[in-house]
Amino acid sequence: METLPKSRDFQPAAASNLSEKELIQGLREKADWAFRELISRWSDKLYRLSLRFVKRPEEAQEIVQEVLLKVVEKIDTFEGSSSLYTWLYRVTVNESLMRLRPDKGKKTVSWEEVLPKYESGIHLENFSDWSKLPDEKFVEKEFQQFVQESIELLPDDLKTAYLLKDVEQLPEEEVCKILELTKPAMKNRVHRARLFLRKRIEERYVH
Amino acid sequence: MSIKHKMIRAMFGLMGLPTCEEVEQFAYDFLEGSLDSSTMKAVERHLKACKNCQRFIAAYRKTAALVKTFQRPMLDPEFKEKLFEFLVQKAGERV
Ligand SMILES: [Zn+2]
Repeated sequence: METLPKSRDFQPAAASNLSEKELIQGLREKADWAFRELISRWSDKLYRLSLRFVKRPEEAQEIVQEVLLKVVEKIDTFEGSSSLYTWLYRVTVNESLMRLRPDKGKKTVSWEEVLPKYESGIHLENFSDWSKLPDEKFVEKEFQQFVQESIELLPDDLKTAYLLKDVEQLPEEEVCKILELTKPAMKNRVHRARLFLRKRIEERYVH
Repeated sequence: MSIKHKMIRAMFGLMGLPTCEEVEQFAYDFLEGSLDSSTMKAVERHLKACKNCQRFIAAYRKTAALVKTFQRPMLDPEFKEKLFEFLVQKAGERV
């Protein structure tokens, strides 16, 4: 076998067309290549997602380690029916939410605060189109920080749906499977999260 | 209920168009392009007639899109190497 520097073994998995089934089989056989593949394919994605929840990189790393360890421990119980993809995201979400629990005293928004107000079906407030702000604004660290903090204020159910759909950009069907939601319920959560964030950004950057 | 709002509502009603509230409820599917074509057209016509909804939808669309440009942090390769060793070791302990 050729000897590459070890870190080069964790390239993004785009090049690998190994099926999920083959990966699971490799993990059952405790093959080194399967562990490497598991890490290349999943660790960055799961890290990114958990980092949106817990913020501290060390803690997000712990979550990734925890989740992948669970894969190793439970690999024999994996049936073809529940895909590894869905399972990994679901366990990462649960693990991340569990770690958020201790600071549960912090303020979150309620659905009522988020809803636009109407009279006879007509908007009561005048909106500003902050999407016309200069492009540089959106890449500013301060702006991104503000959005990240706003996401943190969302209740868990809206936050998870929003992170998976809009931030991680997973397909709708996958988000539904991961969160065990019907499509209308999933859309509704993402929609409410967007309503809240739209309003927060408007209040901060326009008024 | 103000006369102004009643009049605007009546106008959308006469034109066979959704209200602002309905436009908001369609917003998610409007962005996904998953509305049927007659609803899609009705929403577009509402937006042409209603500046306020135009601004609302533009900012709503941006809300969904802007996070796509956010930083995508990656794990440190050294951590991945440790993780690999950790998993191999744990798998070895598994009977
Ligand atoms: Zn309107």
